[in-house]
Amino acid sequence: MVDAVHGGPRTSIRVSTIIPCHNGERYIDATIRSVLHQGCEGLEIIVVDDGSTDRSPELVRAFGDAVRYVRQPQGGASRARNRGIELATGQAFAFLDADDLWPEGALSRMVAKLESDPSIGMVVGQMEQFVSPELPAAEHLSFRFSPDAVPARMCGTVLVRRAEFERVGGFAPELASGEFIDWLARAEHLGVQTVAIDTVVLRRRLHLSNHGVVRRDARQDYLRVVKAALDRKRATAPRLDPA
Amino acid sequence: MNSVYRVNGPRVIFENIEGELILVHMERGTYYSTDEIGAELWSLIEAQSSVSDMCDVLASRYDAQPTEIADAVARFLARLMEEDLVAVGESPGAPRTTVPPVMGGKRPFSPPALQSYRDMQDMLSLDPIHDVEAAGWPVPRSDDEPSVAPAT
Repeated sequence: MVDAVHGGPRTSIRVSTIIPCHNGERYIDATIRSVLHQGCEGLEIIVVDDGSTDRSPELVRAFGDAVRYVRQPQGGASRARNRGIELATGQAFAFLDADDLWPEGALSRMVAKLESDPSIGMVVGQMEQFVSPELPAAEHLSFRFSPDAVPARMCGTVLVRRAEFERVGGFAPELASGEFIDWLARAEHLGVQTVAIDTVVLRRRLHLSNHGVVRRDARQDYLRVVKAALDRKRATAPRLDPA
Repeated sequence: MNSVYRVNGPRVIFENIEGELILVHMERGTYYSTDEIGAELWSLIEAQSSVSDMCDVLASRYDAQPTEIADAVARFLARLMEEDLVAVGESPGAPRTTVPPVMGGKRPFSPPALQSYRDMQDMLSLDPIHDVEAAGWPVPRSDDEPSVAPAT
């Protein structure tokens, strides 16, 4: 655990935050604000508009120079994040989806941990879920989830050192789901040093158009991710039996 | 022996990828792989074959005593139940699985095994589960619902 950030929220590691956004008009404003509220100096925010057809562009552009906005034809979150990485100038990368939020101070905690030891390649925080407040009460009840903070390895809970990210490579563009799991499995396979902190660094919004809710069909991609991970494991340790 | 099973969709997803059957229990975040005979049994479960039909099919293709096969099938099904991958289904008047003729001789039999992996549990189980029919995918509220087993 890192104690209160001493000397204010300054960072010596420059962080680039990459936010892929496809038709995110409903929540993108709140998402960007939650990043700006981190108060980290030198924080770079890159929104990659993945072919939005709604008001996302104007909502993002309203932030002016505080946010770098790029747009590309719709190609999925992997391609959008990869584009963001190409543009990023920071020494560490963080990701946030266009509907989720960072609690105040989350990034400073992650940065402090990363800075505490140069051998750490990636910091992972905790996540808590909430049902988007504008949804009617009946919809709230229909989500089955735990409101507790849980350690969660997902795109929005990690801060990765640039060099380590580059060693692992980008997100697999052919995956519509599970692309972060795939990335993380590759990172683990390469031995990226990962340290968990018990701070909530991501507030994940549950709403009616969550990726997982809408794209049930894309869940088949998880199977491909799992298969690839198994194949990698067997290639290195052919006699390794599952636990 | 005449009971049938059904896949616990949609929380269980599966696919045969490059000759290996991979399964994921999305709520538990556990993933599985099985061998050739396990994959064959899984296809028979999907086809709503009765347990005795499953045994007949395996007996026609593999070289083993019927009791050995029956025992292996029962154990494999119990394992699938234990992992919540299948449930006992109802299939009034399910057609008998036709046993295709075997090409060549019978192959050697080994009891099917299901390997389970929990190292990605936290990540796989984060898919939000929603109880309404938002995009044409029914999510049963309980396990005792009649067979919905959507074609996945």
